[in-house]
Amino acid sequence: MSDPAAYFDMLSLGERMSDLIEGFSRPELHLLSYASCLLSLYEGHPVADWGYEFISADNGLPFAQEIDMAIDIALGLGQVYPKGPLMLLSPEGATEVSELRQLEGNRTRERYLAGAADCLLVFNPGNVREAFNYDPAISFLKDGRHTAWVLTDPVVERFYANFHQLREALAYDAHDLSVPLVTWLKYLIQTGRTHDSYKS
Amino acid sequence: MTVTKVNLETLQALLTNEPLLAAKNQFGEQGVSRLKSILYFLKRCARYATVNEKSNLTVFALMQPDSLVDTLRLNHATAFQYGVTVLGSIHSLSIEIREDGSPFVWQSIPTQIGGVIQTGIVYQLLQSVETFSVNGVAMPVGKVIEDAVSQFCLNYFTDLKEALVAYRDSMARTSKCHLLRQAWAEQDRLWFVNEPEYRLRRALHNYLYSYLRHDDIDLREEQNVDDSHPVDIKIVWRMENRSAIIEVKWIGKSINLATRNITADYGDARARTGADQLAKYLESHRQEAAKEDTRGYLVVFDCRRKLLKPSATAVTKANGLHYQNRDIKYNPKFHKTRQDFEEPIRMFLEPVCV
Repeated sequence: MSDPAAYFDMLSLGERMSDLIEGFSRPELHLLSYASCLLSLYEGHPVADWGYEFISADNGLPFAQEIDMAIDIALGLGQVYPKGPLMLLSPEGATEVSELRQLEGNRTRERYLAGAADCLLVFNPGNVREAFNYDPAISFLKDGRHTAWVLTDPVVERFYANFHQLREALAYDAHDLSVPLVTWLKYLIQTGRTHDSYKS
Repeated sequence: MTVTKVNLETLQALLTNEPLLAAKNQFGEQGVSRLKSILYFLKRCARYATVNEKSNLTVFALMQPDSLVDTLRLNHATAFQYGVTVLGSIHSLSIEIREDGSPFVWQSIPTQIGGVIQTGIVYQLLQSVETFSVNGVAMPVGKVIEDAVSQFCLNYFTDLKEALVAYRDSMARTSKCHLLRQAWAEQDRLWFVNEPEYRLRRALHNYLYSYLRHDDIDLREEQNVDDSHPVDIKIVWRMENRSAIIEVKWIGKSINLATRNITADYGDARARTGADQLAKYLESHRQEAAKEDTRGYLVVFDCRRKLLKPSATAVTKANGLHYQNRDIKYNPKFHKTRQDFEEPIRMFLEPVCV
């Protein structure tokens, strides 16, 4: 049985990614669900409220078991179908997510999912991955080459602090959360690349 | 590298040039929405059309109705259809994104409304420079993908061979790729630096990371030369239970410019060695992971020049391009005898000739 929040997240992100970048891969979907979770932290919500947790996968990027199960179920139901190396939302999946969006709890989540997916208007999937490779939680686990929970208490506290600074710099409470996320990803890429160039 | 504390100076500099924020500050959340509709158009248009260094592309959104624009639109603009109105390479294109998100193509923008358009949000691509103007204030778009003409009109690949050919033709041939440029000993591209292997791998990896849709892509690190990591680049597509391994070789000469000593001089034989290595790896991989569909790709960066002496500071066109069309003869021809071995791709790198 899939976690309802994860199932909705998968369908909603899958729909947007199908539209924006002609499909999605599993790692891409996990990554954007992680970005959505970060946007809820940006607004000061506890990480436990998100409903499911992330560990670091073999490639160091975030992975949520509930999202993976949701994809498997959706493939089985025909709400998602494979197209080459990617997956797309089917008309049945579009109908399902449209109905799920009417639920009160999902309407709140939708802002975070939309904010995360819309970063693909500015970045390509590869650069979103690159940005998160510079994410403090991710890079620590990747360098150590071990699998662990990503959003531990110290990591979350650090995000709250960083995002507080970002909110102050933006100087307004964004309804459209793509603005803070795009800014955050650009910041990660710029500072990460600058540091890497000093190393080499 | 990890980001711990936010560098406020860096953050503020980013925000100063952030078009989404400028749109919000000028026009509220409606401004953000309209700017995103411009980005959405660019994204969708790129599925059917490409931009190059000579493209002139303007996409604008008015933030309030204008009766003159409404009147002129009837004679000068038509509804844009994705995949129909523009195909292939964009030379010159002016698009209006209406309030409902629908795009209209203008045959030309009448001068009477040039000023009106500037009161809204305008995206422009001109000579590979992208800008957003919000109520007349222009800001440049920073390059996240260094070598791309446009950060938004991007064509992704799902086929690796297509991506490799595109890299060869658009990035490698004239060393447009900024990472590839770091492999040269000098700016006329006569020789490589000593041991350019990692730089070449990294250049190719970087391009594939940005442009090829994939699940995972691993680059063999500079220090890793042991048998536990024999593969230069590995790409995985889990949906199709497929993977690709890329062996990267180079032929030509590398030099120590300080001493003018040639540090390596490789010919066809090195490419054939690469083919052997790749075939051996594919064979051992096939034994261990029979259910996975793995294909091997040999990529050869070719910087051979004819009659190039260590003391040379320039090369003629005849000598510089002598090997341009000289394909490598492989024996055995693994790409003919093995189903999992793709035809090798040679990337001839042009020098700057006198």
